[in-house]
Amino acid sequence: MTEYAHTVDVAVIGGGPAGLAAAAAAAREGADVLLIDRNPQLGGILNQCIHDGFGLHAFGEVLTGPEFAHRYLHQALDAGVQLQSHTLVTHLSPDGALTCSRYGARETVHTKATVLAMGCRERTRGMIRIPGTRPAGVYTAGTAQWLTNMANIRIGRRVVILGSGDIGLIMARRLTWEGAEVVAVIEKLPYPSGLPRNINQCLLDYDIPLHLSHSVTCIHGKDRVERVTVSRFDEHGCTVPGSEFELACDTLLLSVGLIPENELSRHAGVALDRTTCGADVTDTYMTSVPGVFSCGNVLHIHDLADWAAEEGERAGVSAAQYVDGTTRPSDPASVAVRPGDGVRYVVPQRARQTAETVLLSLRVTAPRGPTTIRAVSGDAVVGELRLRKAHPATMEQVTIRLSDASGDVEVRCE
Amino acid sequence: MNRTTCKKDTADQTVDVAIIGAGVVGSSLAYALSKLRCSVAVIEKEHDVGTGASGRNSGVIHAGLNYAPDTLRARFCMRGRDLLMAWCDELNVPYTVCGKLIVASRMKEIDGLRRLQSMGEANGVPGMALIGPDQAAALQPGIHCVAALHVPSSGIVSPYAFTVAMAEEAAVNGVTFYLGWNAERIRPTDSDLAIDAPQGTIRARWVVNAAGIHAGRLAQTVDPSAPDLFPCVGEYLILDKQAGESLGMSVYPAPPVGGAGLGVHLTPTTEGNVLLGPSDEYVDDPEQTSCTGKTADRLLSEAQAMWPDLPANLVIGAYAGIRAKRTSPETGGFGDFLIRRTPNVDRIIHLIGIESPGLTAAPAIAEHVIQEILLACESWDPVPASERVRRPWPTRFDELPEEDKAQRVADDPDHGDIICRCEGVTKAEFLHALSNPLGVKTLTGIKYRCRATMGRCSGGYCLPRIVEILRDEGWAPEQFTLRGPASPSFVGTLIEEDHD
Repeated sequence: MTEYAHTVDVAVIGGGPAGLAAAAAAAREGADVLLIDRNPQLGGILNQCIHDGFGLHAFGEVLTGPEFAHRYLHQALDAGVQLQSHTLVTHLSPDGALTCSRYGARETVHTKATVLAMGCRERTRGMIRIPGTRPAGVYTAGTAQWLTNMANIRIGRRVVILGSGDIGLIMARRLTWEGAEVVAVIEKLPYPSGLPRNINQCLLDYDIPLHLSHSVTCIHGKDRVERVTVSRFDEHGCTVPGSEFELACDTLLLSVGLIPENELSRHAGVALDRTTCGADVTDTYMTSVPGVFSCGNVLHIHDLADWAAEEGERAGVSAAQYVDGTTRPSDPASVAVRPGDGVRYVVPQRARQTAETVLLSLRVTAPRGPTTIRAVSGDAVVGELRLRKAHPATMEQVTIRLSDASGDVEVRCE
Repeated sequence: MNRTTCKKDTADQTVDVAIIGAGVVGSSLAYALSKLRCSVAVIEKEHDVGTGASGRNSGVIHAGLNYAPDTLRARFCMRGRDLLMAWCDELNVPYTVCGKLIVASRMKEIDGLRRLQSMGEANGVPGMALIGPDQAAALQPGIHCVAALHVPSSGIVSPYAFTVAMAEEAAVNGVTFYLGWNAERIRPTDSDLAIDAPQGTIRARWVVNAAGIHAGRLAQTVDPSAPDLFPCVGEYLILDKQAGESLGMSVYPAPPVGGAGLGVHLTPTTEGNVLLGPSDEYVDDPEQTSCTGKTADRLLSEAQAMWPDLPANLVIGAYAGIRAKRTSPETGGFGDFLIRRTPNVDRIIHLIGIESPGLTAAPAIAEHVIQEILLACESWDPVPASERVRRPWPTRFDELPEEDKAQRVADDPDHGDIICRCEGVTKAEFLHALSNPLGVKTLTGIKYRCRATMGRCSGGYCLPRIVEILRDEGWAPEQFTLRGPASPSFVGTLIEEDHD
């Protein structure tokens, strides 16, 4: 059992794309960094994402998930980050003490700054309350992906996928390749939740039907899934009477959303945003608890790992600067940044008056044609992004100039 | 295949007592009988104990105010709560006497509270008080009512923990469990009694029918005039532990007149979640435990009437249980427990219609059957305490003080390996659950014993870890089942594996 340092400048919790990038960036800034991850192998969910499509933005290359993770792992190693895998942080106290548990040891790590990069978990059947029996054969798409790609397990033969999130789409193709029959993908919204490229490459290329404005309204089968009832939903979210049909299947996969995993943060007193379910942060990614930063999917759900890693880099730099005091990430963030018409959320939610430019990440509420996303402060337009079309499945980013701002900032679609 | 029995050889012998049904009543009886020098077999159609109504209820230790004083329900509830808590102490099963509020949302419901109070007083329920809305809100912040009956002696217990703990300790003390044996008929023979199942025949001198919802039908195989039972489903929602932080006691509505249940209530669990339910709907199929969307919406809106701050976004799961009601849908209300002897056959005892407060009453029913019936005919000596084998319910690692956790990890390094993040379950706890004396290897059985897959992520985090541990132990994918051989979790491997 190797020993790791129990007093460090910066601890990063979570070794997925955001955490690895944050740790590497903080170490490059000169901080003494410890990265703690609960899995035996670093890389987070990337390790089970054996499909390609990663790295286009970050490296200008098409990489698989493990390859993409490898790049950041090497960045972290090259920068001198101490890596502690197979260790779960069970408690974070506001003063920067982390309780860590691993095989044979339970210990405390003291830090000057902590970067939260724990990622997210999948929404479950229980949360969306799908009625019916409770048989074997109901899995979230990410768990199914692990069982398929990492454990060589065949989960079922005839599969219905509820939700058109990206993991569900990727799994539709993956299970087809493995000889399963993917009967249909069912999406409650009138538009897909996943990226357009995944609709094309994972469903259309394999003739897998996509039922928009439909949802699974009952699960049947006492012991193992036998079939599901599917119903159409109208624009008010109500079932259309008489629209029900049944699909025979032995497996139901759920790809119905991701939830930032903030139990650790919540217990440490970190204030959370009700929309993102992630921390409320400043432009330095610092949460309401001084010295605690947040990035990646634990902050808000990203569409691409590339963006999660980039956000991690920015948070890592901020954490290092917080420790060495060269800049003042701890200045009061008095400028509120709020979502306006057509915008579901904006991260960061607050900015320091002293920041010159701030990169905002946001999602629109519904699909739109040509759209201008405009950040407005008083009468001044402080940032603008013109899009041919906008889609909730895609995360958008816009840079604002705070020097032009006269108070709070609202970001809206026009 | 799961190991379905502890030792099959006794199937050829005549045991002193055969119990049909390993719910909380059957397990209570098995546990109490394991303290006497007699041979006991338990026959259960599912692949674990406590899978029916016993594991699918509110988990409330009832105070005893909902039953008329001259009923078996009142008598066994009052005696049962004392025994239940004593047995929980013996078995290390957690329980809390957290109290409950029965709230009137309209002035005209206050009379109902007064009726409950006087019935409770007649049954000997201590410390009840009719209080105003401010006092109620002081006891349980956020509660809306015009008045409430505070019942301080009401409590909570994990119903499956209690049932499993009793069955496991009975098993290590010689009681044989035939899991996956579906008793179809009780048949008197020339010399003894036989219980016929497709899996084999069990022979016994005494038979106790504790088959829950199936007890009426099973009784009729030997006693045609035994009454029918009417299945009445109760659906529940489970809320995240985050909701449990703000609910300190059970909150019940004033009892609905003529209802088949006690009304939709909120109950904290000993593990810190909140349960919300149950509905009450008569169904035809005694195994119909599916949930409906309409009912879930109704549960939420009825609970929100009492607790407007109810965090509906914190629902993490749902379940349903079947009440074994003696009253038909037309009659409504409640019937009393029935302890029935079969005419002309001395040694068959049917326990029929053990619905609410069956969990609380179960130890007292077991005590009654043993003291009043069995020991009137038999002279079984008690087993000295020094000879008894212990299988205490494990104290959860996650609930230990920090200094004890470090000590546990030092004693067993597997306590450092936390396999279930939501519930803080360690690998050592998982392995302890897996090595249970009933031989239960289903994922649901392991879940009930250590809570892995029971938390807010429903196994998203721990299922991969469980699969890794069990694959390392040599399990094939086909061996993973949810509740037994009929509910396989997986269908095989993708590419053939080397088995050298």
